[in-house]
Amino acid sequence: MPMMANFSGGPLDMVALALVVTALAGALERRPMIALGMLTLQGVLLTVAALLIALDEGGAHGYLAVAITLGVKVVAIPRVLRSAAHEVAATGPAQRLAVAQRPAQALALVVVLTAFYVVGPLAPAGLNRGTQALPASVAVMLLGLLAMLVQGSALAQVMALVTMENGLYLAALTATHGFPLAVELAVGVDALVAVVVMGLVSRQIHRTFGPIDTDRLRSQRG
Amino acid sequence: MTLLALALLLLAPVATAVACRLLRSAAQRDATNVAGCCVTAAAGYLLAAGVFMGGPVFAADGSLAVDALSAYMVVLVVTVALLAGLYSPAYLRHDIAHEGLQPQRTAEYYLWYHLFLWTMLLVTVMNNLGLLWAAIEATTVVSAMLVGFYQSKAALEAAWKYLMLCSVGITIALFGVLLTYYAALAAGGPVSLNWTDLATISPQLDPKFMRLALVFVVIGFGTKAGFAPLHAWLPDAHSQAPSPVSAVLSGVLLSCALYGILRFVAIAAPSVGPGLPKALLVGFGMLSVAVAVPFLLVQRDLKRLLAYSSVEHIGLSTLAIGIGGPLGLYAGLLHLMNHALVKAFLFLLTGNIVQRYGTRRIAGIQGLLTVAPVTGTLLLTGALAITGMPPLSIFVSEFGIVAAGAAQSMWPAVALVVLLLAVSFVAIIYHALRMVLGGEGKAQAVIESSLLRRLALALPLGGMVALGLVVPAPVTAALGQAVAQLLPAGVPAW
Repeated sequence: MPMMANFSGGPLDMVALALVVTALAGALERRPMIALGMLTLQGVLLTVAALLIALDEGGAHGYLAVAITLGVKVVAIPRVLRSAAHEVAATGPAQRLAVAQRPAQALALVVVLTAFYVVGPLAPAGLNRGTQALPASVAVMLLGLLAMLVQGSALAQVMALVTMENGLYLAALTATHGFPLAVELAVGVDALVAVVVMGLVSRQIHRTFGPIDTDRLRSQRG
Repeated sequence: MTLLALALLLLAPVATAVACRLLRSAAQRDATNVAGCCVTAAAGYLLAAGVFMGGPVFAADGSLAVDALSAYMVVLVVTVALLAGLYSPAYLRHDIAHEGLQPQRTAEYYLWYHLFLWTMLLVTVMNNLGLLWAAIEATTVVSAMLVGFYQSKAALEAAWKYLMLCSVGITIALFGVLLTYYAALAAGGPVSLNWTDLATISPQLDPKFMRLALVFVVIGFGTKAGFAPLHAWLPDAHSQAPSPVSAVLSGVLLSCALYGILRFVAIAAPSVGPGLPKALLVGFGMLSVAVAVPFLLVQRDLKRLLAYSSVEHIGLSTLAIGIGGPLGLYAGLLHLMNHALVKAFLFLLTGNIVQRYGTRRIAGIQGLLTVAPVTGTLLLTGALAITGMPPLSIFVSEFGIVAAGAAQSMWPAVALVVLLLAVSFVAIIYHALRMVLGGEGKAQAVIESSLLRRLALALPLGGMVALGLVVPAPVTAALGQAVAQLLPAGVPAW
């Protein structure tokens, strides 16, 4: 049994680290199509992670998780966001960040290192398949949060939120048996519906304000 | 019978939503909405009565669990949703006649309204913490469509802020649920995440994980509950939504999020001890009251005034639950009900006022006692009720909260709360007097009136007067059961 655990531990760690790299690249990306590409790549990596676990564990549950991940993270969510990304890419220059690029990049690196430093020792032996999965998932979550704070456009904020969820999803997948299936399903469907609704609202905002930019959403104070 | 009521409770809102979306005639949609609200409320009351008299009910293989606390929440949700549902048809007819609302858009309104009601009911009956989480997230997504209903610049902005901030919060909360799952697995416990199962092994859960989980959950669900300083979305969303929706958002949705926190605290406390949960609840509670009150003073928008008052009151409930003891818990839960009734009443009444004057600006609303003596009198009554004047209901629960704090010798907190309550009294009465006195204001449209609209105001008015005079024995008994569910077993210091 320990051999089996090691088998999935190695590749899973690689996937987890790759996920951090894509999140790092996507979080501060100002060109929407490239950011969307990074997001899709994260979906692919999560699907691979789910597949590794399903292979290791056997049983229908694992493969269902693979199917859900593939359907929601690789197909559905990028698809909903693609048309919006096209619109934004067509209507204007690269989007602005709330802070300058360099300090933001430095901050992103600090966030990742902090996550590994703080959460790394917490990873419970025997519970986590990959030893890096938990700190990596926290790092991805925090990068999503950072993106939420520094990105100005509505679309980029939605992508930041999806990034946060991806981090969580990794942590959920790598818990010994994954979440119970009903929970995985509900979380997946919820994420999808949320993205659809955000798509609807951001489109309405687009119609009302022109190019989507939350910097103009500042009329309400006090 | 009780199971039947549970099934009906979860089916009726969906059926009503779909029917309202499909029906062609506006009058039929109005009637279906009212019928749907009544059926849902009846099912809710039957279910609650069954649980209070016959004990907890489980269904769908234990995925649904309704204990006294859930039943209490169900009663609050269906009551406020019923009031706002009765109020909505005439309110929307006015918007159609005077504000240029397209008549067919009421189909959309009722669709989202009943789905919103459904998601709140799911929150109260879900046994699995993961599904409870999913239900809370669903309430945000569905109600955002109602917040942005008017599609104005400000409404869309509010809907967007609401969606983004609450989604971030909820994602943080899910991490807390995940950590709990880790802890349960490490303890060799059940892998179901049902709170009924987790409660049996809660003392064995690793405190290292549970401490972190608790912080994540309180911050995450707390964003949705409107805890300061995470409340930035709340005044926007609650003021931009149509008034009946504001009534539901302020009256019960905040409490649903708080309910999620309570379920969690009950599981975490036996593991981490009472110190951390109490510190978090008292801290966020006090901070919410302290942050909200200054905004009451300087407020210029009537609906935002009520929204900040909701931050204050959810803070008071949270504070009471953090103070703990049977008295604190009892007062905190009772306060949720009192606030739900009074705030629903005030938001519905505000619907009348805003439609009459065509503005939400407090300065633009004058001479209400001359223009509309009944509405003016009701506004003053509501203002006295929300500020905790006897003999109205909120006085009882606020007194209970202060007494609970005094019983635990938390003197600085008690003194600060009493001071803040006094300031909020001055602020709200000042604004209310500005609106009811003075000469006749400017634009006065004649609002669409209906028996149902008047009923929706009369019922909570009766409720807050009655509950101020005496808390009926069945309510006390039901609350007692709910408190017993909350008092975490084996945590004597709570």
